[in-house]
Amino acid sequence: MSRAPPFGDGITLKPDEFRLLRDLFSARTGLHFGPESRFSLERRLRERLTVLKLSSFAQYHHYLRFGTSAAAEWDEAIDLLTTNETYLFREERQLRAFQQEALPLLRDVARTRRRLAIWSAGCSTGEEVYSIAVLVHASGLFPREQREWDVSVYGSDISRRCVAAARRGVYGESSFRATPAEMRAQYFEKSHGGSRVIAPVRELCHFGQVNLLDEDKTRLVGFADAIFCRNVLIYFDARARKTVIETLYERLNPGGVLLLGHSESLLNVSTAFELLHLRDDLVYRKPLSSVGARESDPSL
Amino acid sequence: MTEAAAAVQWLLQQAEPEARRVAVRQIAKVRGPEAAELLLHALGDDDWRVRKEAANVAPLLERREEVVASLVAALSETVNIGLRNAAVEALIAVGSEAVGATVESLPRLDADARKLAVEVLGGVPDARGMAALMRALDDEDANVRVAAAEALGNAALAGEESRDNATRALVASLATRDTFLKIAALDSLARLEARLPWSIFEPYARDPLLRRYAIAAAAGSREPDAIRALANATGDASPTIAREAVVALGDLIAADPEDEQALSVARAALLETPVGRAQAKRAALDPEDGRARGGALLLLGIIRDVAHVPVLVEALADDDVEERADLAVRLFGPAAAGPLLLSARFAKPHVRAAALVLAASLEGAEVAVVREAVRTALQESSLDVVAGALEALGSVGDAADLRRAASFVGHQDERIAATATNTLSELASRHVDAARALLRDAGTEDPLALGCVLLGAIASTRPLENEDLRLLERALAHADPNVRRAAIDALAQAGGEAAADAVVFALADEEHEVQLAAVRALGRLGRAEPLVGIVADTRDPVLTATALRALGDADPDRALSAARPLVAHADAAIACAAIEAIGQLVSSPRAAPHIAAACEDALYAALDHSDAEAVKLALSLLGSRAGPRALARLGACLDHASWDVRRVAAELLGQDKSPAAQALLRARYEREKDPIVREAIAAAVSVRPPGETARPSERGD
Repeated sequence: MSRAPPFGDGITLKPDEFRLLRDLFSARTGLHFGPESRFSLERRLRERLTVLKLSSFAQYHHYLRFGTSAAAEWDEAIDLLTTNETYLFREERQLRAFQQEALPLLRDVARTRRRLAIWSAGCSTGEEVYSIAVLVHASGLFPREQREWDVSVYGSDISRRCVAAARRGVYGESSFRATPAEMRAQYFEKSHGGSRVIAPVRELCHFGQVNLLDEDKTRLVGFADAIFCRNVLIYFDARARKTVIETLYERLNPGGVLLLGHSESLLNVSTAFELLHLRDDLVYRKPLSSVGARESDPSL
Repeated sequence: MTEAAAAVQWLLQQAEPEARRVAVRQIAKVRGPEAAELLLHALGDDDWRVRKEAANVAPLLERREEVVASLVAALSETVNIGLRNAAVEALIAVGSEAVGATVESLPRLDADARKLAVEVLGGVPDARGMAALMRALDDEDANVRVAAAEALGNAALAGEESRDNATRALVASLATRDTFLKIAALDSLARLEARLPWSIFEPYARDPLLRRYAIAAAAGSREPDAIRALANATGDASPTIAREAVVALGDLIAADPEDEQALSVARAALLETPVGRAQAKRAALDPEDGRARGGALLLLGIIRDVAHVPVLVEALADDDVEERADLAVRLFGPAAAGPLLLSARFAKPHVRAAALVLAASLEGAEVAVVREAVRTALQESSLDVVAGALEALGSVGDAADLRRAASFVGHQDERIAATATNTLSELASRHVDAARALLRDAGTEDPLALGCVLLGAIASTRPLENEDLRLLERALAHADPNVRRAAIDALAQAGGEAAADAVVFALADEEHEVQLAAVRALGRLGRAEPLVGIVADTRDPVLTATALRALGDADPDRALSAARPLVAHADAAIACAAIEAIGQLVSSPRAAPHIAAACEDALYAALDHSDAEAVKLALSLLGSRAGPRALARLGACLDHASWDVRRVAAELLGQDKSPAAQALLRARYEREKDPIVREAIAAAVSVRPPGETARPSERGD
């Protein structure tokens, strides 16, 4: 008598199955998995096979493509495959440069419409969004008491679980490891299970689940004056990276800036941006001369 | 004899009935004259299951004429009664093809066999058979005449013309002296739902033997005289007749509870019939006879005697007659409110809840009395009662009740919380100043949740202020998806570009319910562009469907463009969503003629979808459209592989009273094997078109 096939435990990701899944994830999410990722992929996804009572990764590939609950399963898979480790005021030097040098420039550019929109693309569990919101608030450049300025900080991530966590916005001690003490005292309050940003800052923040390769979804953000896309491009293959950068360029207002992680650059990806040299940092800027682009956009 | 026939014959001789029953199924495979012989053999089997199987096999045999001839001949069998009766069943199963031979056989058959032939003709909806049955009303044998009258009760299945002819013939047959024939004729007239003047039935209603049947037959008439007669008959000395009258009068009221004239006549007559009222009260308390109880409750409703209210309350607790009890209270009117609440005080929680809601819905009732009862009920421990009270509060509450309703919005029971939210919204839209005061004073832990509901209600009556919009925008970022959803709803209610801008990003919300709310809101706000993107992503059928509907609100032209290609989508859920959206566009009063025509084309195209559900949906949306195109497509669907599609097509064609539609249905009835579809077709061809009570002169009487 043959033994019933196992579910989950003990199942290995065969090379051909790895290729199938790798290509599928790449096409749908842009996430890139090199050959070295095979065992990591196997380890992370194995629990899904157990939950779904599947006996091979080939079946899992089929489920993701044609399963009755494929959409929900994509959320699960993405949650397992993406790294969410981050903290408040990460790469603080860049954030300071943004606050002290970029925000005044953006204020000038946005002076007539009196609306400032900042997008954290790939915001993970929201720490970056709240950090930016605190800096904007603290800058005093965009007063809102009399509705002088309309300020929004959008945070998006492909992971549903991350977006939900970001929306809750309650963080433990480790998230504050780079937060200056005075900043923490002024802008954060105790909450059940940790600390969270105070209400006047929290209300600037909006979160959504967005796949950066999904053009329709990215349009929901509208046009931004600054886009943070830090430590996100490293997960994408070259083709997806190019698509994402084109999208971010399109979503920026003329004169708007793009901030990447310190280990990332647009070398060999895009020449549309111009470089903006700040005292302590280098950011990419959409030329002010690119005004026509917005006028032809149907989502305006 | 062929080998196959010999094998079946051998099997039919086995001792085991189950073996013989299985063998019967093989008769259909036998070619040649032996098939009819084997069938007759099986029809005469000792075991009823074998005979039943044989009757079912009869229509499958080739050489139909031979088979029918053998079966008709078997009607004259005098020894094997089982064979004779099974032959009747088999001939009915064969259908129209058996009618000619059966009619022709009538003059040759003896009285017993003629009676059986009449039964066959009554079982097959065929105009030729019905005509023969009308002639058989004059048969020399009394049993045949009675059987013919009974069989004519099925005439509606053969079409409207047959129904009318049968009605005339049955009315004429009432002139006979034969009491049994009169009984059969009156019973059949009731089954034909004949709308005849009361004067036809009146003489028979005076006859003690015929009274019951005349009363039942008169139920189709709404003439005042008929209504009075039925009301008077509720006090008949015969319990059977009184019951029949209660049922008939109840059906008459239920058929049109807004027919004030009929209700007034019935009420006046019942008030003059104390015995009838007592009988109605007795019947309304009898849980053993649900049909009479349901009728009696409506009678008590129109009598409007407060002493009867406890009876109505008791019936509210009975699932079988709950709807009738509810209608009875509404017929009773506002005077029922006080006694209703009083009687329900010690009833089961769900009855108390129903009584509160009912009392609050009675227009003209003393509001202060109902409101006080509702407020008291809000303090009860039963969740059923609290939910009912909250619902009732929405209708009768005043400004002071806003805070009461607000205190339940965060209730841990979802039903209570949802009902309280609706009530709060209802009250806030009526008492805007009080709602604003509540909003200002909302010192609760989370003012955003309450604020969204209140502002949504206020926005339905007057424009919101900037500060209000800011509150709603803040609520869009709330951690609780319910608050985000409420904020979206309120923004949709508020309207305007700023509201739409704020809602757009909620399409990316990680919670499905919030996304759906955003989609609906954008539809109402007329923001089509983001919805097009949602429709294009067909991975989530629910979202696609909602987006298509919303797009229909925002921009019908774009909605049609987006939905039309999806009608043929391989995923039936997506196709259904598109079909549904197109159906909504068709029914929209704003739809331009060119859109309506294009939508109709798309719906017809959807009839070609491979999934039965998609076809059914398209069918139901096409409804009972008139014209040759509709008729042709619906007719084609009568031959669809899915029985369910055929059933829906039959129901829709039944609404088309044209001879062509009726002919299509009857033609399919002959071929249809599925019992459910057969039933649907039978119902479809017997559906009575609305019309006035026919005058005797119009019917040629």
